[in-house]
Amino acid sequence: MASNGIQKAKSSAVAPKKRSVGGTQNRIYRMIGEVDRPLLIVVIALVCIGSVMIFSASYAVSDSRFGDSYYFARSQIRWVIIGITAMILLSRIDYAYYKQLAYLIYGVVLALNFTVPIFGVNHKGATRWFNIMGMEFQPSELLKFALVLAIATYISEHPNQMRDWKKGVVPVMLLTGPACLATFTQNHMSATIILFLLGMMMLWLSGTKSFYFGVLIGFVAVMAVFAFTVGRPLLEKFVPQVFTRLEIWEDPFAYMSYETGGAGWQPAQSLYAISSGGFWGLGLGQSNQKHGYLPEPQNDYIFAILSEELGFFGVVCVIVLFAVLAYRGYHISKNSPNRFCSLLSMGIVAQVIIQVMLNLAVVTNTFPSTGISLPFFSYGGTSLLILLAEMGIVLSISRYSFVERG
Amino acid sequence: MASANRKYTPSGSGRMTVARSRGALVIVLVLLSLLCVRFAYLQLFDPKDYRTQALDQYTSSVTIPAKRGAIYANDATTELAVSATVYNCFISPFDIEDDAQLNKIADGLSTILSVDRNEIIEKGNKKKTKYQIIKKFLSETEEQAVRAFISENEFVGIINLEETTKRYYRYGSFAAHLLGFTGSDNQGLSGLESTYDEYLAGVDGKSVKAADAYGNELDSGVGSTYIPATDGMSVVTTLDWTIQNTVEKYVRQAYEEHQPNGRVQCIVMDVNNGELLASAIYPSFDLNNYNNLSELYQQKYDTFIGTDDERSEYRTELLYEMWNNTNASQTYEPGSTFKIITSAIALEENAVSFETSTFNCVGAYTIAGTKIHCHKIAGHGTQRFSEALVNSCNPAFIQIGTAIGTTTFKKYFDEFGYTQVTGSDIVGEASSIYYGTTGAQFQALELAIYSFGQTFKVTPIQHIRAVSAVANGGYLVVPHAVKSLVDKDGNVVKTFEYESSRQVISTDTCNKIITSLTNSTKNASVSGYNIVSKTGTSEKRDTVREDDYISSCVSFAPAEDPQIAVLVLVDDPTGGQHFGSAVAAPIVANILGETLPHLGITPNKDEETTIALSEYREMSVEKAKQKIEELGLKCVVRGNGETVTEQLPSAGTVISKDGVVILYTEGATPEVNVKVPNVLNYSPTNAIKTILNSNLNVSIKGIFNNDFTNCKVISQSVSAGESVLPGTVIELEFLYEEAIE
Repeated sequence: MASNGIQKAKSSAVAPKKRSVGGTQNRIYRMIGEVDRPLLIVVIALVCIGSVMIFSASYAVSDSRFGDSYYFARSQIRWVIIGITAMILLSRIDYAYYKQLAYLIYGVVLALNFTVPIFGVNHKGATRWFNIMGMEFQPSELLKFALVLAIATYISEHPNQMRDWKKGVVPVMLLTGPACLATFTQNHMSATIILFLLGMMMLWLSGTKSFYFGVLIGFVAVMAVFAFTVGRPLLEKFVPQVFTRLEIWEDPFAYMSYETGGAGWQPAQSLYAISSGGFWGLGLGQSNQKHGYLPEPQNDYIFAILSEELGFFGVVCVIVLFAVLAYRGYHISKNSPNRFCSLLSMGIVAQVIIQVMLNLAVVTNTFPSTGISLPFFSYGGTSLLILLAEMGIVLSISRYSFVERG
Repeated sequence: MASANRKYTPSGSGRMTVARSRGALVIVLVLLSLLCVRFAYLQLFDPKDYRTQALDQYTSSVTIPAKRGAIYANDATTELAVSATVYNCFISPFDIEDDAQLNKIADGLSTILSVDRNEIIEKGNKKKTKYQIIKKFLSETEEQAVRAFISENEFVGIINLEETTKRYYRYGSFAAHLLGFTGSDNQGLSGLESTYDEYLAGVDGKSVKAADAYGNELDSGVGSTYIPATDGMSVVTTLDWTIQNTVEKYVRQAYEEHQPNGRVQCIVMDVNNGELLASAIYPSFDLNNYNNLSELYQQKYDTFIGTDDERSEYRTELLYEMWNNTNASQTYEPGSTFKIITSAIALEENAVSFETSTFNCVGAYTIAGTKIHCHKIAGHGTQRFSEALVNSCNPAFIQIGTAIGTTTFKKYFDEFGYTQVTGSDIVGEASSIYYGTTGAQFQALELAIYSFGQTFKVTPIQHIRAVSAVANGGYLVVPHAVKSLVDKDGNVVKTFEYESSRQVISTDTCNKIITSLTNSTKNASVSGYNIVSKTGTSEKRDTVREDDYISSCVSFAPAEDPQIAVLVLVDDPTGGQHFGSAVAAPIVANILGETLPHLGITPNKDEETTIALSEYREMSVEKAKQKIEELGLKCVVRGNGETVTEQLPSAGTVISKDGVVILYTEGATPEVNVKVPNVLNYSPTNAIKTILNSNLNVSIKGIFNNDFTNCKVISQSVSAGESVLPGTVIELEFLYEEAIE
């Protein structure tokens, strides 16, 4: 931000609601009662584009599955309305409550996740969903938030211990570990990865020693090299499913046919869709791949349909929106009144961005195929509701931010 | 109030969080940029061409076959070859549900289409494919049966019929060797079908439709294209339907008569522009079943003994032999017919004088130490040029050749087109074999032998071209069988032009040869026309057997203004005769006799030798008899009545001027009571007298003069011993036993 003459005001939860006026140039004012407008606009824009794309991507599959082109779109729009309402409501609620309830929320959500395999419903061989009054939701979505919240609380309560292994790193890992274990028992690989990355992200933000990350990154790099070289026969022998996954990742087209299990079909069709888009795309609604070629086009691979219909231009626009979201998250975090807010807002935005990057990496086959939905785009009501609620919390924090007066 | 804000300073760890956040943001932005690069790589460069693969996946392309152009006779309306729409049957193994269904399909189709059941099963097991042809070119009944089978069992999409075209040749074996045929994909394989394939074939169209994964057409229309087929153009040949039929009839007849070991071949060409009016070879084959051996070849095959492999190899050999258009693709020694050319060279170069030079023949001539015999052992004695030509005297031609000299001969041999293919539109023209290709020396002896047409080989098409140059005043034309291309509405799209302005010899030279040879070959004569002919009997020197000859005759007519040339050759006749004058010349006469009137060339009005009878019935006997005798006819009256009640032959019948008319009066009725006498092998005078004496009439096939000698009857239209009505016209055919080759 601007270099000299910057003044910052301490925030307060009981700050006056009236916007301050006047004052000298470049002064910083508290703007309580005003959410971060750019973030709000970006979120609304993403939700709108997402809703349009849900309809575009799903109408063919809706029609063939339910005889109703609007099935998915209607359901999603309903959840958008609920989600936006929740976001607005939550943006009005004092963030301080979350800090008080942090560990309780974490405990309850963790428990829910461990019980999913027992009480949940099964879809395509995985038990990750609860069915509550006809609505299905994945508790792992809540777990991401709960983990960020718990770690942010811990760090903000022990601000000076974080460079310490025992008092800083280990407690964060003790929070992250069970969360990862819970999703791992759900056979939910992508959630496990995201939770792990979130834990690491929070640890990084806590200011712990960079050395640990050096070691971690080095270890991951060595493992990756190992997996692709000498370790490959070992993978094939001991973890054939991982081995096959890598094989498919390398050449999805070789695994398209029924005989080879068809696991390469979806990533291959995704590549077809993306490449078909060209610069300007085939035009909104003009995708061919959604007509039964790319399975479940409204879910994890919705961005492939967007790429096909809106082309590279549309892709860049959406990525820019996510970049702005990331930037606003950083901005809010930087100007937040305290450490907890800073960590929580950063953690929530990180959760969104990590999913975005992983999803885009998966649809372009830059990363092996794994079930990661695209925030604001992929079909899924409860997931969208949780996401918008989280955005509400970030917006709530932004109300207590300090902003530069222009 | 705002100015009163206290400054918030993040603690050490707080600052760290901001710094770390900034770091994370930078990493995120870098990673998002890299993802943009990845998208750019896929969407803007698409190096692995996924776009096309995707397109292939959701589009299906259906070929719209172009209709192959027709082949017409020279009237541009008689269809010789046409393409008709038929159907191919194919299955889509990909869509076959299970083995039970496949078995049902195999049972059904093998019965309907007479295809091997195992073959269908085998094709049906290629489960990843969607296109396995079961049978091409279904007949109408087969097509309907398949349609019924599909709808009964709901095999839509599993068994399919696709539209295609099949070639039909209206007249089967008509000009088979020249027209050629097409393969199973309608591509021209031989003959004109092959030469003009690029025009006939047209360009197949394509209909590309986008469909979803379940096969429903996509209305987005992306990737859908429709390129209509461009139908092929039709070819108008130079073949004259009537002439070709005439030629085929006589070529076949000659084959049956002379039982040659080889073939009977004939070319009829327009001498002025090189248009082929007919080109026939017997034995022929049916273009509609070109893969079946025709009868004579089948007989050869049936008598062949060998292993299955050898038999199949032999069959293939026979097929190629059967298809071979030897009029262009096989060479032969022209023999004495070449003397026309030798004469032309000699007269053109003034090597000999047409009027004054004389050539002595004592039955043999020795040149360069080699004695060469004349066909007339006794020798022709002293002959003038035209006599030597008509006599076909080898010693005379040795002298003429020697007078020409090797250099000049070579020059003209080349200019007459014998050293190169004619440049016609007939596929597979063979190269001639001569001094230049064999590498043999060409000196006095070789020249002497070349002078009477032996030891070199040319194609029939080359030879008729050279002879045509003599016929048309000296111009070398390019033989060809197609004159133009027309579109489907009959508009001429392209006319083929051939060079015909190269004059090899002067018109004066041509006229001298025409004068010498007009009506010189009596067996090739046609009543009412002046025919220029030269026959040849060449030894086949490349066969093991002795007495293996090619009998040939080349003619053009009418002598006053030559229009067409005819070349007939009979390869190794075994019917007893082998002289060209006896074997080939009568075929030429038969062909010309029908062809010249067809071309609208009117016969010369010679002195009338025939008379058409009037009506004499109801006349008084006396008056009728007087009238008949006034005409110079013999009159025989039967019965004692006053008026004529019946006459034989009846009114309108054409009889010769020395014929007989029998009149019947009351009480007498015509009876079938005249036994036809045998006149075979009689001389003309005796034959005619014998028949007239039996109160029968005579008509003569071909030209006839009473002063023709060495002539005998070779056929009579009613066999000896049969009873006929008095006055019946008996047609006689004469053959001249000319003392020439």
